[in-house]
Amino acid sequence: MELEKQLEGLRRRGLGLAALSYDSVAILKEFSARRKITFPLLSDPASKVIRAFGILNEADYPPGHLAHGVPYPGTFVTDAKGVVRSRFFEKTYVERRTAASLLALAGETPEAPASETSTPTFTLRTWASNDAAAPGQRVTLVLDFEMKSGMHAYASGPHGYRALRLRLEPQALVTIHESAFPEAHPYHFAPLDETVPVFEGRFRLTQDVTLASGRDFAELLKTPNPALTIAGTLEYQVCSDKVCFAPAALPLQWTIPVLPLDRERSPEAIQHKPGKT
Amino acid sequence: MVLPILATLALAVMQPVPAASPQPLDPATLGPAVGQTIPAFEAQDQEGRRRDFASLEGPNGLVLVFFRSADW
Repeated sequence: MELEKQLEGLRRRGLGLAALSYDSVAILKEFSARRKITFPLLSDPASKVIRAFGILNEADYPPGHLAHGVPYPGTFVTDAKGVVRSRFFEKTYVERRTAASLLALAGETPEAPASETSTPTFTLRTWASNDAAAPGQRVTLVLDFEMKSGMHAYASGPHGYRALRLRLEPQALVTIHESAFPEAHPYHFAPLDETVPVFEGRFRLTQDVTLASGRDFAELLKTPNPALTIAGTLEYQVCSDKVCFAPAALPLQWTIPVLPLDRERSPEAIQHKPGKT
Repeated sequence: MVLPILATLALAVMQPVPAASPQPLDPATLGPAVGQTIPAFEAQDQEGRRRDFASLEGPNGLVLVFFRSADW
């Protein structure tokens, strides 16, 4: 389970982790032994907690269906008082944000940066939240910038500079979401008496992508070492109060090994039976 | 039994069209929103122990994942 790998990162941030499903204690016990899961898996066989949270999926799974009682899959992140600080739900059940993506959005830094590029005006480290991903997973591509002293890149706004922007090449196996930028700072350039939004110092741009469904990956998964390559271009313009560089573009690429979907079930004796809760 | 009738009427008013194919719900709008407190809950973990929020959270809070099933 991908969550197990992220347990340490969550602990470092002082967060507990638990995962709840409508499975019986027996199923969860067998599953956690088979998958070496050490964090609490919670059993909600009558979907009481799922109902209390208001996320029971009865639209797709009416009473009598094998999956009746399942929630819309998603994640709540709370503070120590139980107040929701962030939440992650996807529109279709096969899509889910990985825990590693959640950590990347929370500011976590990977142990081994995937790729580092130096330009005259900034250093860029690019990595993906997951070192491998399965169909349906939503992962985060991360761009960590470190601007050289005095340099700033332009955020989009009503000005003539080329704004920082990541353009990913569209492809059938990936849904590209909107890039998420940090807050830009107003920068006043006295000689022109202009104030423009800029990024300075260290900042992070994140770009979520969702892998297509397992069916779409069937062909790719038959090849040895299946992997997905996501390519794109970073557009930007960087200036300081002394010098302004020409608009520029930097080609970028992420390669993410694709994992097969896990189809292994629990032993038959403890499996869910249709129409039985 | 006035209340059930009223409730039925209210439903009839709220749903004037018998939806043949209901709009898919957007799960992003379901459940506690950011800033709201999650409901109190209790459930058994894989070892059969009773767990609640207090026994699961870390010093800064809890990541609570709802997943479909460990079985299928």
